[in-house]
Amino acid sequence: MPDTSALATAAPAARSSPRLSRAAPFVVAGLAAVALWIAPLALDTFAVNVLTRSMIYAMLAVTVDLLWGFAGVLTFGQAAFFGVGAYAAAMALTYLGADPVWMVAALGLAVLAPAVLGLAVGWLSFYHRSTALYASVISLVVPIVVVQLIYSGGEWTGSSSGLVGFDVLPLELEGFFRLAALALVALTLAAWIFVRSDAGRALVAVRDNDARCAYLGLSPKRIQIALTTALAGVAGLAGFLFANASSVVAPENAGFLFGTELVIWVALGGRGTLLGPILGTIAIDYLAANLSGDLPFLWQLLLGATFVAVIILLPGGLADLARRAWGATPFSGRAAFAPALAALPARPAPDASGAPLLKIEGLAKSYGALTVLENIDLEIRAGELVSLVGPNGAGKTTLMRCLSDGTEDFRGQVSIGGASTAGLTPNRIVALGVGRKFQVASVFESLSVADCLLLARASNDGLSPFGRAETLALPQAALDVMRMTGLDQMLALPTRLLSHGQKQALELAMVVALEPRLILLDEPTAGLTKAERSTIGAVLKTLTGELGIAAVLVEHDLDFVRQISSRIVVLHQGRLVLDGGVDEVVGSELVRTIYSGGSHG
Amino acid sequence: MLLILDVLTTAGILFVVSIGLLAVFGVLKIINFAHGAWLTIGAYCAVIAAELGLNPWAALPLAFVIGAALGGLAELFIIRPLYRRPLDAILATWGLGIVIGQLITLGFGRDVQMTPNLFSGTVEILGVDYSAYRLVALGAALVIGVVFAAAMEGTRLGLSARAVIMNETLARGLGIDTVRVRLVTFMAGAGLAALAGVLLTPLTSVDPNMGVGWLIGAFMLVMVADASLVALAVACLVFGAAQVLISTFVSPILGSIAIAVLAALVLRVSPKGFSRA
Amino acid sequence: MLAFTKEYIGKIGGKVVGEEYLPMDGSDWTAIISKLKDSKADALITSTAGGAPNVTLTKQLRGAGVSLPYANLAVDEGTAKSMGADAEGIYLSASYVTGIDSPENKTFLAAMEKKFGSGLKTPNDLSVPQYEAVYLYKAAVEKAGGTETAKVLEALPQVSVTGPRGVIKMDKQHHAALTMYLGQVQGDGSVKVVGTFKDVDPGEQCPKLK
Repeated sequence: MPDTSALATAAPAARSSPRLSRAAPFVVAGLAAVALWIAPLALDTFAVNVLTRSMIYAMLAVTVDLLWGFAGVLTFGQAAFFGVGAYAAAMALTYLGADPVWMVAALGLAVLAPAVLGLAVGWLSFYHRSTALYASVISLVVPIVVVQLIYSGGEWTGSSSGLVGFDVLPLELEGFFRLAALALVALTLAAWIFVRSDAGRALVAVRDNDARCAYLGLSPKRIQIALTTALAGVAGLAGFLFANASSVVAPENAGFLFGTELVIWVALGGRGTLLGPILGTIAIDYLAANLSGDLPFLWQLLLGATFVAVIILLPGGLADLARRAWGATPFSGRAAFAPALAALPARPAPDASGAPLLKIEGLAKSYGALTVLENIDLEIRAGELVSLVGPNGAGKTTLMRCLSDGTEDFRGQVSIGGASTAGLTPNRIVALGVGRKFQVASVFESLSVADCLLLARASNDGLSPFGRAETLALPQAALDVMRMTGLDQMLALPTRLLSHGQKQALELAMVVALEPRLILLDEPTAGLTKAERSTIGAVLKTLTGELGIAAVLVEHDLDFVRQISSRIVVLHQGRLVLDGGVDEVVGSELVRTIYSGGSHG
Repeated sequence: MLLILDVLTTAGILFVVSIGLLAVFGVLKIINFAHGAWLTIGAYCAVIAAELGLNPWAALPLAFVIGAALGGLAELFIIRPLYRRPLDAILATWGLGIVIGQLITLGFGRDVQMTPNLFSGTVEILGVDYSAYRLVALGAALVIGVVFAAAMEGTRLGLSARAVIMNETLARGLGIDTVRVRLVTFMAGAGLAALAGVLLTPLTSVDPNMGVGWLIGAFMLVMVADASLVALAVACLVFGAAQVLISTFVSPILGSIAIAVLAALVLRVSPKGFSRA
Repeated sequence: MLAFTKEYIGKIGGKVVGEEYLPMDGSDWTAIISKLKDSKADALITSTAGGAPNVTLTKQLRGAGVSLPYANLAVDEGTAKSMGADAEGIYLSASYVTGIDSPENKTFLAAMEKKFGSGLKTPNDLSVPQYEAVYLYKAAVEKAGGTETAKVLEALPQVSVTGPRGVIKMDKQHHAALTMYLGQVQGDGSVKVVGTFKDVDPGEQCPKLK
């Protein structure tokens, strides 16, 4: 590990001027606000008018970027929320008037109505086992439905002609420009702080690996629904500004085509960068206003062709080009952030003599006519380290899945600490005190080592939406895993650069950081070196022996199993065929027969 | 009676429009959002055929060939690099659709184009006078469906395609040239879309944006069908019936969004749609 | 338009047997056409969005064998031409059709033909008024002696221009009384004038203006 020391010294360097770097976004935002405040003095009427619209659209681009660029939800639906906000404002102003009281009501309605719709859309789009594609499908349907509702609203919504001539905020052209500019700057600043905060890591984590999120006790679906709802409200606010600034709303404002335009702008500007989509939207919309009159078809053609080329060749958009150019300059050496580690006080060891922690009664599972598990009864108490062995296809991994996901379709009963897991999603089973380590290391590839651990603590400690915690407190056992594997020296390193063994160790540290009562491990030593293997063995012995955690371990390596287990359970063709002490099982005739093809049979 | 014919023919038309998209989605696991543009390309092949003085039916093979050839180019230069980024492929193909629409506009103008009728008049069937062409379209749907199924079942390429649909990694491991399977499938899908474009000309205006309106419906049907031809036929029948019945007895406005809304709800309840049944 | 039409039909003793709407961007008229056939109506009046939706509707109507007397309030001559034989027999109403038999119109058409040749798009009652409006504005500017908005507005009702549609003068509350034509599309795509309604008063449009 040659670059460890360099990173270790880089991390404290980043902390040396936290105040300066924390103030920077506010200073930049302040300067941007001032510059935009004076801009109308230098711009002609046409530019002021068009740029007002462009800046409102840029607010939408921010919402699309948060959803797509950060949280990985490709959405065409922001147009619908924008349209609902704009129509809510326009209808309120048309039928109630523009007195200050009604103006405030219009504003409230313009934010609330889309947020409620966003909540419904989020609930529909995100559920346990929903796919990213399904959310995109729903985001296509929503604008189509909203537009048809507008069409069929008759005089109430103005149907295809839209609504015009309602009273608006008493501002001149320049006033609307400044209002839009302030709203855009404020939104950008808030989004900027949010995505750089600890809570912002959760968005990226959901995008990277929503299964891992769930098995850390976070509800990825709830995060996605909350984000959809909040950003629908923001889109509605943009709609309110649009209705006021243009005093026209039309069905196109809510349509699917506008939704695709937003995605095009964000993609060209550079998804996941916030500033890229904002500048991209303003530049493209302004150019469009200037060029589409003279070159209507050619302009669309150029835009379409550029879009295709950028998606294929430059997925990071134009912001990526800028970043690469910046990376080539000598000023670019900004160190990655990493918090200092600290130890959490140890929890008192649970009473090892009491009722079984995990109780499985008559568990059975089949896929159609194929029976994978049959009649499994098993009890595991605190402090036990139970190894689950058996040849490939014996049903070991399936059993682990049934234990950690109550929505799996199985028969029989699983209870943890007396509570049945029936129907519980993985994150709720984690809340019962279960930690699961997967067979293939499951971490967050675009986050750093420290961020992965931060998220593992999130269900206990929460995440700040405003900034980054300076210290990260972990249970001693997790710290031990980190120290023994050298990961504590790589906190700022992106996990995708870790070796296979390091990723396995990191995932183990994450699971241990949850402070589970029961830990499920699926071949934690697969593909590891002998040294790494004995490290993990030592950690498991400490966890079970000293801290009283129960562990279920799926393992092929009988030598390893013999060294660390307190009990061994043999699974063969979906049945539990042996359950006993280490020597009893390892020495049995049955195990020798099953494993006659060698230990990896 | 009229109602039954309406349902059947609507289902047939939906099937014709969606099958190309289904082929591409099934094998490539990619949603071709330029599908609408290929419908438009097909319809303009009918315009070209008419200008060349060909028999209107000659537009069908012409569209299939041109659509497949352009599809081949699109697969090589746009789809292939995005094969591991399916959501990006949606966007790139949508962009491609914009480009194609604008190229058609530059070449032919924005106006509605005149195409000759493939088949006009009505026939007396089961006691009602019914549009002969809609019955022809229903027949075309059956023929295309049967030929497609036969190709999947009976040819070597079809076998390879089915292998790729089930498990691409395994198929590659067995020595199937999956790259070629993808290319040929995309070409076939694009060709079928163009063919559908010609078959639409007697039913809809021919203009540069004509395909977009059909895209979402086809997309939703394919989502529900999840790569199964039989499931697509069932989906077309069920949602086509819903569209006709809601349009007839409730409101054509609700009928026009029936497919999108119902398909979204079906997917919410059963993510694999109709393919599991 | 449809509200007026319904009222008028009632007034002359007719009966509206059905009224149906499709979304602006809708393209599937299947159910509506079947209802139309079921209703045994004697005639059909439609008002779709101009352009492509008209073509789609007409294709589907003709495909279903609907050959009732059919008046379309929203079709223009160029669109009708693009429908070929399907458009034959459709009634349309407009303040301008190419078939207007006047020397001004013939001169206008000849000049258009000369300028645009085979690229000529069919002039219709959207483009011709724009053409005339530019000349009317010119006349108003000349009378006002400049382009100052208030003065031009004042001059506008006092000037007139003779265009393809005859003499145009915006003297009815800043609107112009226009001669309306009832046309019928012929087999060759041309529109034959079958009825002329001289100088139809635009009615109360901007009561505050003279």
